[in-house]
Amino acid sequence: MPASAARARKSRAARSPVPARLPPLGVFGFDRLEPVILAALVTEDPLLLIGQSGTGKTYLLNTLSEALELEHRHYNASLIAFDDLVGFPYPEQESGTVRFLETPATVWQAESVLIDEVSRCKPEHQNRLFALVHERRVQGIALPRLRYRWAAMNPCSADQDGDETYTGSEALDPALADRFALFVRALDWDGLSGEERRRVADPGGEGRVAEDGGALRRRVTAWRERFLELVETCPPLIVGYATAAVGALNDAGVRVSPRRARLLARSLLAATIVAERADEPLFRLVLEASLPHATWGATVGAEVVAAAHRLAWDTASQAPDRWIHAFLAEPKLPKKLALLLDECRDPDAGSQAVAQLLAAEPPERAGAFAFASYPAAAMGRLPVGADGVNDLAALAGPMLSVDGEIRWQERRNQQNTRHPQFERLAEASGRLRGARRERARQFFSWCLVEKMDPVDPVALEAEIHACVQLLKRRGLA
Amino acid sequence: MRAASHLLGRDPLGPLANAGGPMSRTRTERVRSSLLGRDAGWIRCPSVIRLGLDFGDRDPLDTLRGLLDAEGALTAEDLRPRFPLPGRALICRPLAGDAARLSLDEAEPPDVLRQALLLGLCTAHRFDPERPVLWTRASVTRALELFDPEGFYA
Repeated sequence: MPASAARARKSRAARSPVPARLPPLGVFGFDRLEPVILAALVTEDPLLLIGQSGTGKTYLLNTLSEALELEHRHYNASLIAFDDLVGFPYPEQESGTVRFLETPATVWQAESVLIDEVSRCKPEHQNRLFALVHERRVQGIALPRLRYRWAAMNPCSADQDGDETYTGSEALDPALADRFALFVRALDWDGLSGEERRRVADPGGEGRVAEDGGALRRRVTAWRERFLELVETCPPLIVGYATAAVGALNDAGVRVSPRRARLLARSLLAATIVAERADEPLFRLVLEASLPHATWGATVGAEVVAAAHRLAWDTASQAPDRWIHAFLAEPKLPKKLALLLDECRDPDAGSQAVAQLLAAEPPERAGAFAFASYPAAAMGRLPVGADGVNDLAALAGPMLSVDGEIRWQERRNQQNTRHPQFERLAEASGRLRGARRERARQFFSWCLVEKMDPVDPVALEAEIHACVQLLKRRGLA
Repeated sequence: MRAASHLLGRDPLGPLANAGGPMSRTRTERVRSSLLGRDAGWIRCPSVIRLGLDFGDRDPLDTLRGLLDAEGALTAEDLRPRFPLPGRALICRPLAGDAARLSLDEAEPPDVLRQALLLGLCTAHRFDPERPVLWTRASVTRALELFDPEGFYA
């Protein structure tokens, strides 16, 4: 097989799509936009769905709340009365204040709120929803439990070109629309694939609570942790892209607010974490989903968005350290190492990437990377500068020579017990042989002494071994 | 329940009485394991050399400059051709505080300068023969053991 074909195959394998999260919940027709929807779950920024009636907007959002086990409220903005949100007010004589009688429908304990038919809302209610969407407040009172603010609407009257018209679906106030970070267009029947049509038409599972054993909830929790780690030092590729894209759109006469540049950067970061890639199609998808203009009936030409995306991508991706984001977003340690070896041309950039990795990864994973790569780095065989070698050494040095105490509790009626983690970790290394076994035992000894508790020690050891094999294949070890 | 326990031959009051002590005890175990300095097993990262100078009450840098002058060398870099150096980068591990160091009261000047040269090529973590010799108060007063990490990838 020619080398180029092998590289292409490897590249395809490396970019194999992550498993779809929505179809297992019974949600079909949103596959293409899944990274955008999941990104909104990760950022916890407001999300607005736009689509014809019957396209599953409300179903999607209610299903997400069930899968995430959220305390959810679903309001219809066209029918809503303020008392529905806050409860019935009554004076509290002792404190001289007014309290609200809570009901199962009031918003105070909500973790997610869906405002359906938001474009059919009375203007005075739009103002109240503005505070809810933007500030997570009602009547000036904070809603500390509220994480997700979602809304859904039919195309507004100025944005209708199909057979159906939605009388009463008015343009959103641009100030309200600009508080939503992402806008998802729900596909109508024509946009669905044959398989999606069959699944949508299948009435099985109607009324069943969406339940995936907590899989989505756990993933969102993990993604969110990673997002919070990375957002503090948002990768240059993302900041550069958001800056250039918003600039290009404004230059083309499409007004995009400075706030949206920040929302776009947050959404891009979350999308790359969720999709486990940072490529051009993903960035374009997120940019398209970040433009609010359709909510007030304006149209942004596809060619204008395409040109802004092209300019932004070219500008941001020509930065010499653009690979660092892919390095940080990549979840597998051997692939991180391969990116470092293949893409890094500047030892200072290598040091920067290593420092960010060690800060962002959970301690046992950061330790695993340092353990596998430090000896090669110390021998000068990685594209990492002195600072990077020192960072790796500070972590891996104590791992090569472990000397410490472990403590655990033993019941009085037990004798000769082992540390609770011992059996798990010994089992993970016990099936191995030779040098691999010795490395695994050394690494797990460090885990024990440092009170690390790897979620999956077998998988983590396999990643260490894959790093070692990679270095050996490249003649670097 | 008591009767059942009695039939099983256990003291029926035992589990119910308050013995006054904790129900569990803390176990402690020492874990010692190293891949460095081993000359057996699959992974061998042998110790190459131990470095450490004991300057006593002397100022380390002034002392070394005096020794350089006496040897007719202008800078620490001039020492390179005089002493064989390990040919590749090595891993450094700090030695314990009570580890034996080469005493300037007893050692010959060439032995001291050789160690100082090697220490000047070390950071706290790494010996690199390619880097410039840096004599600082920190670098020449370190006590280090140097290991060849090549065997880690056996």
